[in-house]
Amino acid sequence: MLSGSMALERCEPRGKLLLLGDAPAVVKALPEGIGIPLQPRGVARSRGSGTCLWLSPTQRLLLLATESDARLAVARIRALRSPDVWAFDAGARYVDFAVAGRDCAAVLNGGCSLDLREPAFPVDTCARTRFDQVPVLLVRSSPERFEILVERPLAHYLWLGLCRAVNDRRDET
Amino acid sequence: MTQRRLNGEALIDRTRLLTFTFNGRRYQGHPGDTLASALLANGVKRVARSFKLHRPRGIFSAGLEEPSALVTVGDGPYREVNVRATEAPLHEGLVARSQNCWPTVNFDAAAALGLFARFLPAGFYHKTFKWPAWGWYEGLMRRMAGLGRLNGIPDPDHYATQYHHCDVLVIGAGAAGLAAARAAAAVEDVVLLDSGDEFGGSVLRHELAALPRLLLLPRTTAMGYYDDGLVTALERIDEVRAPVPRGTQGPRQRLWKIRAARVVLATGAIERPLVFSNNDRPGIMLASAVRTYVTRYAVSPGTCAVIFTNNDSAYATAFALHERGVKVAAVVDLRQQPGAGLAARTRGAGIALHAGYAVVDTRGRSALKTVAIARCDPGVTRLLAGSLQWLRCDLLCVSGGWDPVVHLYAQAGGKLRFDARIAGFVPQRQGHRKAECIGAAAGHIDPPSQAPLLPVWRIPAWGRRDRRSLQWIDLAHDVTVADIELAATEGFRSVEHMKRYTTAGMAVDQGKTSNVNALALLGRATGREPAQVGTTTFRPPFHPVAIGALAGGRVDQRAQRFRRLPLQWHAEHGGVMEDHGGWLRPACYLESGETESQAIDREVRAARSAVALLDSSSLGKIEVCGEDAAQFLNRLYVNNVRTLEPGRLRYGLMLNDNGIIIDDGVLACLGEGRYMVNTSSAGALNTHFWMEEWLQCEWRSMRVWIAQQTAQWATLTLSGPKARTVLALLQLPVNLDGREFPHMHTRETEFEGTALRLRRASFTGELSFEIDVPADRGDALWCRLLELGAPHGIMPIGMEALDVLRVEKGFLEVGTDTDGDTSPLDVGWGVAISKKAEDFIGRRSLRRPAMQSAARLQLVGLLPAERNLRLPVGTHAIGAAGDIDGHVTSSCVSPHLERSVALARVRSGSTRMGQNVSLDIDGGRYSAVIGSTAFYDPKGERLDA
Repeated sequence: MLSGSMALERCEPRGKLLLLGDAPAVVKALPEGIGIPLQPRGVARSRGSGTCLWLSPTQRLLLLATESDARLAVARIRALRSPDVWAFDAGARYVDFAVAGRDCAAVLNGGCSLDLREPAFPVDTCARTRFDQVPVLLVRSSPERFEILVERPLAHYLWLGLCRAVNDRRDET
Repeated sequence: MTQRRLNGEALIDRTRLLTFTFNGRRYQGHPGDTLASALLANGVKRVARSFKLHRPRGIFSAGLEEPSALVTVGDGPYREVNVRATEAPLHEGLVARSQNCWPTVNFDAAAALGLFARFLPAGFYHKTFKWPAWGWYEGLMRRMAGLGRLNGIPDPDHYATQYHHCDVLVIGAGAAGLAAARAAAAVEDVVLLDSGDEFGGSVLRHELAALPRLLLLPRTTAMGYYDDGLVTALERIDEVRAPVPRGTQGPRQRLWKIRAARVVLATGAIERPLVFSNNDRPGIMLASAVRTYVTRYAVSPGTCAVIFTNNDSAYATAFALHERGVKVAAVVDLRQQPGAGLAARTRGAGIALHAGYAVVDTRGRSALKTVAIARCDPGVTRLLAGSLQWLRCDLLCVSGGWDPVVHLYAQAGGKLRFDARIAGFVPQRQGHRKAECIGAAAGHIDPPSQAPLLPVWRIPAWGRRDRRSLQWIDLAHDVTVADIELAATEGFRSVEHMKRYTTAGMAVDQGKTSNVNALALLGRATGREPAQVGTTTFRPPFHPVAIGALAGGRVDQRAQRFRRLPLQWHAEHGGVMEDHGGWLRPACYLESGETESQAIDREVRAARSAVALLDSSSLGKIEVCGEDAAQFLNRLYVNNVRTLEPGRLRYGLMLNDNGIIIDDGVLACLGEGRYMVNTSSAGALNTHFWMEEWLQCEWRSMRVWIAQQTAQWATLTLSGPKARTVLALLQLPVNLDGREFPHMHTRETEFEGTALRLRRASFTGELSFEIDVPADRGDALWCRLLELGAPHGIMPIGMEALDVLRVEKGFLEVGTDTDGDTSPLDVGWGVAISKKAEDFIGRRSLRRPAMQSAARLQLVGLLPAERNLRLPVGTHAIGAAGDIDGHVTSSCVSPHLERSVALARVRSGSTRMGQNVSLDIDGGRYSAVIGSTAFYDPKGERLDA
């Protein structure tokens, strides 16, 4: 969906892996080259190996290029039989949207109460928050682009809310 | 109709004309006008009727403080009531009408109430209408109360919400606000908002627009100050309410929620009226408002004006009128001496100055015609005999001083003090950490008076008659001096009590022009100074807000967000989608010409005779893993989880600390230290939170990890005697034979490269397989199963059929067959619990005598004597003494048993098997026999069919 200088789109499916465990154990279980964020709201990007989002001190979400990558990673971690790291396929759990454009932060502030100014929410920051009362996972991937992950049962409402927020900004953009 | 438009500069576009109607008559105005200025320009004086006594009222102010000129604007779905004419921008085709009058504003039948005014003082409804009963009068009273009438048509406009963060929020774009915003915007993120359209002149506007860190919000009114610097403000985007197809226009209004590190309140001050006899006639206005109409809109609200003041600021109105050619008959100043130079300038302009005089009365039935003035003593406590004069005028401009707009400051928690210099409440110095008042809002009234203001709260009435009941304080609610004094006499000394008793300050204007006069008069009546009386609590909103603006986008589908199943198939194939535990699920699937009852019956028969397919995706799915997972679940569930082997399932009940059932579900052991907990659909989130709370707060040393995976998996349930046959057609690498894969077992497998989980658990009493598949593959598998199962009579079923199937089997549904007082002992779990050696949440509570009492309500089955009578859920069982003996929790007419059956919670039910129970349905008595809950296949033989 395009409106003025704003773009709202549903992203292609990608692999997602929910990682539970303390940070050292998770690092040990992952293949070399995949980094994990250690700070709250952090995002770790590994060249060619996906993006890892901080969800809580013991929860991270690893975004991978394909769903088969995620299944392989789950199998690999389970094969380790470590009692301290648990991996779950979360590829079907979330639906991904992206908002891009000069006013993308203002569009998201049409339903999200976080301070999304760049100093407060810089690139490679993520947050578990709400848009229009729908729980979402928000990631800033560039100064003018946000990705929003939402659980599938509520994706319909998030889409409606985002469309309305983009339209409501139409006159301003 | 008289045209009162003046020559000279104004902020209206005189080159264009706009046509509008008011009370059915056509008038013309200009772009830039408000409805109020256009009405005044057309000589319309009577605009509204007062709330209680239906006295004629005109336009009193020029802004949001307007207490009188409330009108209804728009038609049909665009009708809006209680719009202040002073704020409604004029547009072509605007339709407005007076409210609270019948048949017309000029002749209002209810004005006869004025004849009985002495019987209708403050709080009259607490003392009268008692005999024979309030109900005799209630209908009439309620019809007469309230302002404006809604027409019940949904509002077709939409409203937006916008969050914003900034370093500094400046509210008010007067000189002080502009200066503060400009200074701050050089180094910080600043928002400057104002109710008006403009931010200074054109040069300043361009300068402000060039500041990249300054966001300007015109037509935006701050509504409330909340915790931690959160300010709500309403932006009026499109005031032209006209039929435009829904969805093609932008929002009408936007509710801003601005969180600022610092809030600067440059909210100005509101002029205070003076209180004298008959001070409410159309034609009596605030002096500053008249100045605004003259200078901004080039409108003279009258042809001959009198100014009545106790301070210097009103003189500017006299000079503005005079300079525009409007006759000013006199300036009446309560003070013996006005500010330096003002007297000379007034007299120099040919305007009579009556210093040390007061306006003591007015006349004019439909609008002001004359005012009476009289000389008063310096303290304005009495009038001097023989000094009365009548002056002809049709406009009286009053000014009793200025009240700083400190509402937001007080809402922020800022403290106020009474400033005798302006006779008003101002912010205390350093009263608040984050909110700061500047300019007039801080009490710096501009220009500063050269002669001090003379605080006068009430002008004595002329003559012997007591005129206090005609001295109006709150024009919006018809509150008079007599009402305030009555409240004081009756012991309402607190300003909060006086407010509630008299309703002063409780109208839509929230007493912006009346509160200080009211509290000062209360002080006079109770021997206290205004500072001792204090103010009432300032609460948001500062200004009325449309409910639509508060709702924002939360309308239609977004008003109540039911979770959606991952399968899109249902709604496209006759599924009647309804709310079940917060999920939108198919109640049944209608086929051509079928009623819902017939559809449910068909689906139930298919499940018992062939195979049914049910979308159970809403089932909660929580994975619990770790070394201590078994012990963790063992403490949370009443069942013994430690003995659950990999590949096995166990039904479990979860209790709270009081031993009350809060959820149930099926626990699956997927491997060593790996469990999948299936919760009820409605309980998935709460169960997850319950688990996290215990893990994070109580059992922190446990090595357990919890993942909420409900949304990851779609769950399809094949149920019926042919379920195994249909499932086998998928050719899964799993032996489905009953001996290899028996009831209450689980398997993990793959189907076409996709992970799949199978469970043999049943909520229908039939052979059942629950199939978990990644949610995005659910639709494909569903369609495949329907295709493969077609030769075997497969049929999709909805929630209603499932309910019939489970009631026939007597399966418990938590939340339906249980309530906040149901323990596992009440549903027949006593023996099972007693076998568990280890502790679990709620166990100690279950040992209390009250929980073990035989007199508790226990779950039983009921067989009504009338075979086809479906017992309404909630039907009471009546005991021998007429007491309530229990109630029906679930009920259906079973297609297979060809009779009605029900589940009920009956007192001592488990010991009353075979006994009759009396049921009350809408006053009629019916009978039923108490029995087992399992009406169908009580031995469970069909589970392995």
